[in-house]
Amino acid sequence: MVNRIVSVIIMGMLAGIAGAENTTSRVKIHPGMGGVSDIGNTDCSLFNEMHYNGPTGMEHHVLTWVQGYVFAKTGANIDTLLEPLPDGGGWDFDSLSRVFVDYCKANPDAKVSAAAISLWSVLESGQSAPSAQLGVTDLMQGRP
Amino acid sequence: MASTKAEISSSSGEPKGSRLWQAPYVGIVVLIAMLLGIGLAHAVMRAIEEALGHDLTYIAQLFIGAAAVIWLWYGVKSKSENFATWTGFFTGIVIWMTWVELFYMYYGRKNFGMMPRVDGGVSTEPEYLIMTATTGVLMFMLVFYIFDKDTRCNMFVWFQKKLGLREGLGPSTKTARDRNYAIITFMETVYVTWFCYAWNLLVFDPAFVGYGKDAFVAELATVFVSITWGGYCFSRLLKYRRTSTAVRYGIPTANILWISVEIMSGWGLMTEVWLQPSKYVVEVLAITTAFAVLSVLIYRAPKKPSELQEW
Repeated sequence: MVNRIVSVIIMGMLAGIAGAENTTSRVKIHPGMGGVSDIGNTDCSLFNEMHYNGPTGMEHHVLTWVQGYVFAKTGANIDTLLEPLPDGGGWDFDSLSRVFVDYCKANPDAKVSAAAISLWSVLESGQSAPSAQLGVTDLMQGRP
Repeated sequence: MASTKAEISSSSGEPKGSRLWQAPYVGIVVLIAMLLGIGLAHAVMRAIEEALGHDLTYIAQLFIGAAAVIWLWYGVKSKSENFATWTGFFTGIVIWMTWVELFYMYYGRKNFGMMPRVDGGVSTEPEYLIMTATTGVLMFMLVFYIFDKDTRCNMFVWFQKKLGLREGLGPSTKTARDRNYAIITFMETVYVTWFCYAWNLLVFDPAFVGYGKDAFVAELATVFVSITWGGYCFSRLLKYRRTSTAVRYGIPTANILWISVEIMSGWGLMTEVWLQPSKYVVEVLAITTAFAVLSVLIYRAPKKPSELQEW
């Protein structure tokens, strides 16, 4: 039952992204400004480039966007997901950010919004924070 | 300090025993060395960043810059025009790569947390967004040099003549012997690099030139000015026989021409291998070797009597 709900949520989010692409393509930032107008609609390859050349801790800024994005889509926030886990599963700002940073590295053709969903998928599966050596692929495959 | 082995013909003033180190070869070799030097400076910066990561790079650059100042101190004390000129050139490049870029990078990326500008891919890193903002400071210094009667830079002297300033400014209070070639070359390297960076960054700024076809017009005009101005400087450089003077004149010549390199790279006409030293190891090693060989050759080239005199 829970799996079905999760699947519906994820499908809903994906459908939302697909719909959002038509409207966000018109969004532009002032010429000369840094950054992008719509981080969720940005390709992971560009996100990777921005992450390397961008400000220190940029992934933390993006994490706050991820929270808002997924909350808007599902009504759930990270605290709600971490509550059932003992000691919050050991998750912190760095390990949470690393999930979608690693996802984008592994999936340069995906959108950043898909990376946001990957984080939610990992948290919803009740996994603890990975060790520094493990990446998002390990989490997706259920390796702790 | 370092002395240069040279055979000098005392009667003609021409270096004896060398048919190579004469016009136009001096100018050609110097220009190639300076162009390679600019590429190599890019590669060294990237290599340090890739090897150490951003946070350690900030710290390392502080010390590398300090080492360059100590080297400059030796150059300033030196009575050899040749050594002083090369010291000024190398330390100028190192100080720019380390202290100048370090602070822009630290404040842009770490302290201010600025996002890079994106146009397709990342087009301008945070440090260069800040650097563009220093154009005003650059321009007021330009005003100082234009109105300084002791300047000997050909471009500023030309401005002074065209603006009718020479009479009002009066004769220079300094002769060539009053000048310290190390600090002059150091400032020239830093200032020319700064000027060309600002020029380039403004041409790449969509707030000024727009995108696509609008930007292309500005870029094309810049390439035209760069090649015309740089070509004119090169035509003058071809007449130089004193290697020290040629090195000092080669610095702006190469930097002005380099603007076209940056723009042509932006058009996708060439790959800037020096920006990816870990990917193009062989190419960057070839550039490094070529620059090192040419620099040593120019440094050890026979000198004219006026270059060997102590000032």
